[in-house]
Amino acid sequence: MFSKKGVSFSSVVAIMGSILIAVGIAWLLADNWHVIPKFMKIIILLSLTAGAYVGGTFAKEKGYPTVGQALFVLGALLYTLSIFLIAQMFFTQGSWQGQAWLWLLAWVGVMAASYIFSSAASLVVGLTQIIVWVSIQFMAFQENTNLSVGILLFYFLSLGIIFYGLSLYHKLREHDFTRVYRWWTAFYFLAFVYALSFQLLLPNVWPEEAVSSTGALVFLFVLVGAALVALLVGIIPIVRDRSKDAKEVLWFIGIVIVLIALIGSTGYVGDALGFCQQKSCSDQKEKVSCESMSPGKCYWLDDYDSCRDMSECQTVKWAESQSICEQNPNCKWKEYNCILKKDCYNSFKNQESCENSGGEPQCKWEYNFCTEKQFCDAFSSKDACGEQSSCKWYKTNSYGGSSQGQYPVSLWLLWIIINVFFLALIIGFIFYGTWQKQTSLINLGIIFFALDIITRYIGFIIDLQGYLGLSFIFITGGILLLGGGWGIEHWRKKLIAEVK
Amino acid sequence: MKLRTRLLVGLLVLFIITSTFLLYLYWPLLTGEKIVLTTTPVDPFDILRGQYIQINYEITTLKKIENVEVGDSIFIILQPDEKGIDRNISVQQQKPTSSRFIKGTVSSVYGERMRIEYGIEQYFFERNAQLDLKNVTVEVKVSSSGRAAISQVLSNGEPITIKYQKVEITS
Repeated sequence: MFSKKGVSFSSVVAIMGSILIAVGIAWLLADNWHVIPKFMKIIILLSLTAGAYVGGTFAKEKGYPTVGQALFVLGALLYTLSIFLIAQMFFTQGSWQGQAWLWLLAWVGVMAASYIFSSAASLVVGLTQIIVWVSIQFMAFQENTNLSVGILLFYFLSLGIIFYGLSLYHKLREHDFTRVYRWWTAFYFLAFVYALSFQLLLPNVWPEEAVSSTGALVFLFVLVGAALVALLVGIIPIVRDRSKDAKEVLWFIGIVIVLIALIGSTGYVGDALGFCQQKSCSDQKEKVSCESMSPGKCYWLDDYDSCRDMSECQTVKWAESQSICEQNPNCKWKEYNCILKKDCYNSFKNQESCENSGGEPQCKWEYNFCTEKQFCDAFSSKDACGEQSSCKWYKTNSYGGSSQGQYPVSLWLLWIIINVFFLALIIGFIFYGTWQKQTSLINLGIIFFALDIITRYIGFIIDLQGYLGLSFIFITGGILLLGGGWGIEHWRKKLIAEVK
Repeated sequence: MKLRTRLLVGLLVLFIITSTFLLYLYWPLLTGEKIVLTTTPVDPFDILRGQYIQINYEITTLKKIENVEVGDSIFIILQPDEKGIDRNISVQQQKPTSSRFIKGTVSSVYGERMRIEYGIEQYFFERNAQLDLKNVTVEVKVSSSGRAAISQVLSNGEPITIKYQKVEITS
């Protein structure tokens, strides 16, 4: 595993076997859980975990390192399973914070075992678990507060720096895990920027209504501190010895600075997706601001100290009386229901009567229907919407029904910059793999390159709808797949041949 | 280090972590004082740990006390009623010196109410289980620090019986 020759096919198959066994054991235990006494459950779990590690050690000793690695992975998975099932036996908290503690405990054990048993495959399990732990810890902070995804991105960036610092540290000590950490760091950063390359994510990174929480910020400081320590521990000997790795470190610091700038820049396109609509009456908490809304829009209901919409009688339909209903001049009381006196859609069936109807709500003729007049241009940009005092920007998490042309230029620009950076990063890692003579890095770069092409291709299909656009996209896609498949494989083989 | 020495050290480390975790979980059950709490359960599912009932206690939502914030530790002083069910008599932020109490964490504050979690909100069982969830009370053991652990769930004052449906797998 992660030898100079790369990952062998047999080790991948053996590890897949381990995962299957772990899942099978989990199902078997789950299906018979109630018939096994608590004490026996613990003995079974611990014996299975110990058995996997004993088997792995003996396999390694007898000259079967691949089977040994697979059994160590099985041990790591069974240990993780044990932590969760023991927690279940004692009915520990199922909240996000409860889950985060369990993942932390699982991670500590798996990392310790990886170093003690010198298992690269088990280390990958541990490195995956720390990402899961950090993500769940973020969910725990978010449980009662609306935290920005941007904070999570900075958690992940700090983790990436820790991984890189550890890869330098292991390289200095000529540790067996050097290549694992190097590969993992490359994979991690490529996956991180790949996630950032989705246009839909960008406006949701720093939403305006998000708040910060002390716990989340303290956790961020701890992670940033750990990242700085890991980086300094790795860098100081390189600087002291004026090693040739100094250039690599400078490149890495450059990548981190660009990423910080990109994550920060997403704040400029925060909440950029949405639509512009007239402010809701219920947004007005004072009588003065309520009555200053556009004429005939809202009225103040003294009985409830609330601002009500004149075109909505439904709000007083169920629980309130006729006297309250009739305080809205546009509503009338009919058969125990409060209904609109004037209803654009149902009352007017031709353009003339619609446009001359007068009173509130105001009506307009559109698409052969009489509808309520909107005072705000739904498709105006967020900034243009904010300039109109009676309009409000309502954020959406998707493109919704808006047309392409309405998306802010800043969002497109940022998306293009991130994608160019992603491509540069892929090419950078491929050249780095060639320089370090690590074929697994070259393969990783090629995989992400292919993934990027497929992702953007699907993205364009979604964006450029319509038969002409689709047929163009399919023909281009076909040529890309045929030519690209041959080209990428040819490129990969050439690079690997150069390395060898 | 030789392979077999590594094996011994590795197993010892994992054993120490697991045993410490077990002892931490078992501590209130070993040393704690028994209390009985009344509930209002609902029925969700945890993808990693199976099926469970989400238990809301009578003391889950209480009247807010002054200067309390989300994340604060809080101590609920209890007293058993004539049926043996522990009821809240007062709430304070300082640990009580000598009385029957349980420790919780404020998870949210809204208006004049606050929601408190005690770490005993889930009761796990297997899928295809049938439970009688009428008049559910929970017997809990509370350590001297106020940390609680579920010892058993009661229905109509008796330990709850869980029946498991036999599921046949067909293709």
